[in-house]
Amino acid sequence: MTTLAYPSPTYLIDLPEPQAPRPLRFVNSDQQLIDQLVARDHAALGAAYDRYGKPLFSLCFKMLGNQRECEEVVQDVFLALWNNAHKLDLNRSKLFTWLVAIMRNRSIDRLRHQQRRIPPAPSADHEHSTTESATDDTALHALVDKERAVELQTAVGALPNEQKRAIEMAFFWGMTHQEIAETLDESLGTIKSRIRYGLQKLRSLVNEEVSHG
Amino acid sequence: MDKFNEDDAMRHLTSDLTAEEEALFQELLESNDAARETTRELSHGLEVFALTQAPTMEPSSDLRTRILDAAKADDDTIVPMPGVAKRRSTWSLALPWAAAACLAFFVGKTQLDKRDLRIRNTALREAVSELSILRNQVTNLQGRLANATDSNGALSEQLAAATSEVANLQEQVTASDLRIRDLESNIDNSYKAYIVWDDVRNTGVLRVENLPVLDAASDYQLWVKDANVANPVDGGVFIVNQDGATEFQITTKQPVDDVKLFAITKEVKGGVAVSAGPFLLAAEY
Repeated sequence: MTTLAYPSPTYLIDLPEPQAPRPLRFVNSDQQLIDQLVARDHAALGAAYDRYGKPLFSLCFKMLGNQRECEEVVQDVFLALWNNAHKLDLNRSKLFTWLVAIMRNRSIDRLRHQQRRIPPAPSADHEHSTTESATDDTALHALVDKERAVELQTAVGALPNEQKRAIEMAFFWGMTHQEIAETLDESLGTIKSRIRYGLQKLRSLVNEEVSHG
Repeated sequence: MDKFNEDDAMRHLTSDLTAEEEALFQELLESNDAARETTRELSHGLEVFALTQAPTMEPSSDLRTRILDAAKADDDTIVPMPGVAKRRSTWSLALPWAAAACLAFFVGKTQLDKRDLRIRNTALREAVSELSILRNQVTNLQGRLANATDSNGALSEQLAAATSEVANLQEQVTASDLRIRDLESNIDNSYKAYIVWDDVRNTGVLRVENLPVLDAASDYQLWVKDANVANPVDGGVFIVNQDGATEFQITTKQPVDDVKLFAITKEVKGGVAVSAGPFLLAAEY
């Protein structure tokens, strides 16, 4: 049985109502954060950044591969949060999901504007310390405890490579299914199938986490 | 996109929907619980995937401070424009009536085919034209009624009742995803302009009246200030007809999603990237 250890966030899944003592969630829930943001509490913005800034930056870096650009994007995302907290409904979308969506949109805009279609490599201006892609240190580790991260990592790793490839190109490179098909020289139907099956497995994965977690 | 299709959710999450399809999907999410739940689950799965594929990276240590400073600066820059849009227009009483008519017209139109964005935009334009006519009519009626009130108590009571009803109608308009803003001028009170803005799609229609006809070397330019964009966004250039009027669908040069201000300036032909002003008309939003 997977357990959550404080202060690991549980944004990834909707845990059922606890029937027995369960590990702690955040001291301040996302809803409390939102309430404080709506009240224009700057400390809450800092807390949101502390909670989600690093994984968000890591995802952005995977997309853009440029420290300066990613910091601009992340700053932009948190300012968007600052100014739009009153519009957020956590019953519809988790805070991290919302932040990722904004980050992706901003990043894809940049990719498309610069007509970039090649997976970005870390740029020369990335002068700050990074932890390169050791599989045991991914952005997931900033959000869940190590044991759970390893479990999820293993499960995701079991997806067929072609499914992972297609989803990665769509998520990180912002490519349409048609563009992926052309890039991989596959039929559009094949790409759609790969993405569909891959996402269905990922959905099952998080659902299993809910039922077993 | 009448019914929920899981493939649409997947295409939504992988940015494969066209702008129109995305708008329709967002509408579907508003009304369909199953669509929302499935999309949510798929989204979580996709996030897990993405997080496992992205190595941990460290942003600069001062990024947090920069974000907080930017938020504070953002607070400081949202200041009311002196004398703009704070005082009530002389036709402010008429506006809600016309707005309600506009809303009814708009809703009636869009109920026929809510899913067709092109039709929706057309309806928006037609609503603005309708609004223009109604506003002129109501302005005239209001002037006559105000004059008569001095000598007629019954008319005064009617005016009070109408004012109450106007307030109710205004609430209905506010509850919709349309908002109407008067732009006002500190330069010439005869300049009139208003915007019907769709908060969901971040688009709208501008109508101006009584603006001077410009020489051939000049254009009017609309600016849209978004809370998340440093500089005012170009909302398009335009000229007016011999009556000083025009209306057009606003297409901002950059996406906006948190509009704070509309303003109109006079610029060189073709418009400018950054305006030195002054604002001929403006309204906070």
